[in-house]
Amino acid sequence: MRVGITGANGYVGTILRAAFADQGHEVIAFVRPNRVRSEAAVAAVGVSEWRPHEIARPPSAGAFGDLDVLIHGAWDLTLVSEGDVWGVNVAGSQHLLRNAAAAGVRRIIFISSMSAYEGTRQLYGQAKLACERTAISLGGISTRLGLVYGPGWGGMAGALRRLAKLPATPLVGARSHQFTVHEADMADAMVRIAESDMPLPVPVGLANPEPVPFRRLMQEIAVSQGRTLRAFPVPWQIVSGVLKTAEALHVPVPFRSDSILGLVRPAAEVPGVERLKELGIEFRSFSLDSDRSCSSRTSRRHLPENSR
Amino acid sequence: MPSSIIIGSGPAAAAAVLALSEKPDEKITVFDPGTVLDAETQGVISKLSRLHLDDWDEDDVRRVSLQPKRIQSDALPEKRSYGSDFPFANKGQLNGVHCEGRVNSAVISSAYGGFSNIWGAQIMPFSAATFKRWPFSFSDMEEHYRTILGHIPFAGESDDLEEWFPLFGSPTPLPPLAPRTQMVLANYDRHRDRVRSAGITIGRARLAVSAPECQPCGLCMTGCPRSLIFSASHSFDRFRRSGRIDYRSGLLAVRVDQEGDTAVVVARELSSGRILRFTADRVFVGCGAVGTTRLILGSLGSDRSVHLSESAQFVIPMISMAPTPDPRTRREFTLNQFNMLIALDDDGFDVSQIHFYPFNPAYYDALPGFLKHRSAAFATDRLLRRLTVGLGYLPSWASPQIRVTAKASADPDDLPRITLASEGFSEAKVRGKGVPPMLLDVMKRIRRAAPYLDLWPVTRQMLWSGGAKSYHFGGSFPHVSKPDARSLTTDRLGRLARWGRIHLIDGSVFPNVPATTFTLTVMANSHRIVREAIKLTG
Repeated sequence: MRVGITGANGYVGTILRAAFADQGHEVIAFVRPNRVRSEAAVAAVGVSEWRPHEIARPPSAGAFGDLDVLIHGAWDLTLVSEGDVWGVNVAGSQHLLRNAAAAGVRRIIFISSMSAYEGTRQLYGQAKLACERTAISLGGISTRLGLVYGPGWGGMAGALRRLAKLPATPLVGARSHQFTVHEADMADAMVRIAESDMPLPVPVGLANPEPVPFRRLMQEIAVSQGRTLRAFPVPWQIVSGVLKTAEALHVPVPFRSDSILGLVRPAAEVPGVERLKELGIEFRSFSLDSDRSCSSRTSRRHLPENSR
Repeated sequence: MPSSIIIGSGPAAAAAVLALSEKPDEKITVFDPGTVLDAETQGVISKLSRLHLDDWDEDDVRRVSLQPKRIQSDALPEKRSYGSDFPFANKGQLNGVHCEGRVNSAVISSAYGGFSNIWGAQIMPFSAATFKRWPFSFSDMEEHYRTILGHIPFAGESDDLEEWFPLFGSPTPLPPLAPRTQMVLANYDRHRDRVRSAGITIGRARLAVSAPECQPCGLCMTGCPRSLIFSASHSFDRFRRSGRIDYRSGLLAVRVDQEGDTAVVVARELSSGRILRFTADRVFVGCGAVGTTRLILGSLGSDRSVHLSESAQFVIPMISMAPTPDPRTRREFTLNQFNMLIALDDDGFDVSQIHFYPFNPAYYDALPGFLKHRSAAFATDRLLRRLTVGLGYLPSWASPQIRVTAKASADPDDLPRITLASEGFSEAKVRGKGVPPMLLDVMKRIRRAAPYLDLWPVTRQMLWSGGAKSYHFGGSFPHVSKPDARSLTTDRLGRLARWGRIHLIDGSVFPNVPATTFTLTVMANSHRIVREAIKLTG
């Protein structure tokens, strides 16, 4: 299959590139124009072709005409204002998904998030929900990724890992939970969904259905680094307020204020678990033991280049 | 062979043909003045529609995207269709039409397709509660709504509007919505309970548009270069291609009558001035509410007044605190994108509706002069990122009526002279004692919801459109259960007491006009009338 991946240089995109190439698929990586000819791009293994893609200016249908599958994962996380999120990330994604459908791409997969659920108040979750609706209305698939963790330590998991390294870790949403998915499981699930023709007309969650208490999650992350978590609970409203102020002043911060809302108000459950079981897709329970001892072959296989 | 004549080529007429064409042996003749877009502009549209929008020639685009023209200083400008005013062109149908004060004078179209050449393409049924005042029920209309929605392109999505306005049929998804629309919808989701407690419901637009083929180019309001916005002319093109109708343009109907069981139409040939006489088993009159009213009053030979019920229109700018990216740099689809319903009751009867439009160049044109100056660029930029314009409607029972007074012409083969006057509030600025009370209530509710939706009404800049400007008017010959000879009322088949073979099929027969969208019900009711007439008389 010819598989296009947008956001192919991101944390999830890098894992997917490797996973699809491992399975013998041709990977067409859609990345920012300035990354198409970068040294890293030239050196990357498993990518048949690099194509420019800016989320604000999605390519026309012609750019997708030769693809069997398109996985849309690009999302500009540096954008924090409502207008930019809707005007760039959402509008750009919706146009891209329509163009891919118009080009006749057989399987269109939108990478969403477990933050996207009906009733969410988080901007990121609402924005992903809007794109999900578009993807599904076009006959595509929406995959809601849980907290992706694994040896690559990117994305939110990477940010939490850095937080757990602090001498004292402020803990927001200590009583909350997250749904997690190992990098390797996420990649395998995505490959199976892409290879299958099974209709998935409602969003499916790529995460283990067992909620992981946030405190336990942070403790395990700390232990995986040979540390003991020293956490103190902080009201999330204070942290969110500080981050919002920093964002307004354009001070770089490790978390978006909106992410805090995602941590304290997570989804209640993982959707589509049974449906995915029909495809033979299941997800391991949360544990960092295998990653600590590097015993998981699949995890190593999908290790992003920058972590190897 | 049974025969029918349809007068007009607008949405009501198209729906009538649709119903008649189900009868294979029916001879169908359609009359209208038949004004069309000039051939040169049609050529440009045809060229644009074949190309990808990145390959469009700038001069071609400029030619077909002329902005609306200001006709009155204190009224909404008049739309253009591909840069042309052909939907408003006077081919004689407006001779003898006089309007008082701010009443709109372009009330009868001579165009092939009528005013559907420049409409907003918004399609929703009336609420079930609206029909409680009609001599038939919502359930009598359901199958006709479905049939019409199966005949025209239909884009929309499932949302809270379905509580009162069922989403008949299977709409295709809308093209991607503008950032402001997405933000308002997200805010509504986030604060649904609080917004609903103010009586406000928000939902996406439902449009008669072939959305899957849309490549957003920002030209919806001046005419879609791909002709994806439904016009009744598209239906007639199809009927003509299939040979199902005998279409005769260049005719202006001046009188209808019935002789025995034969319906008669007298029409003037516009090119020669000759008077022609046609007969058929049935005549369906769909000239638009004012055109039909004039034709019927003239045919009755009476100098009298009737009242048109109008769902009056207002324009309300809204400001948001959170900005969007500069809308001038984007290519969105620019039709109505979301609707706000403001309900004063619990069953969907006393409802006002506002259609919200994303940025289009008419916004910029409407700004005060000083904001267009180069030195004000910063302020204008900030404003345009926060500005949304709503086109609002009140139901006819909360709006001023339009009085139509006819005076018979000396020539029996001429249409009567008519005068249109607004009875009630007609100032441009919404101030003073005469303001419809419902409008004040509506604004109060919008202000209550404003902090949650981030949509603040700028009431000082509100504009009350002149009478007959909404194009949502009718009811001069309303349906009643039992029409009598003295009152100008019609039965459920759109027939006045004196004629059994002449059916009025447009808005002129609506018992009232709610604030929700108009054209779909015009089409569905016309379809119902024709179906029932066929059943009755074969």
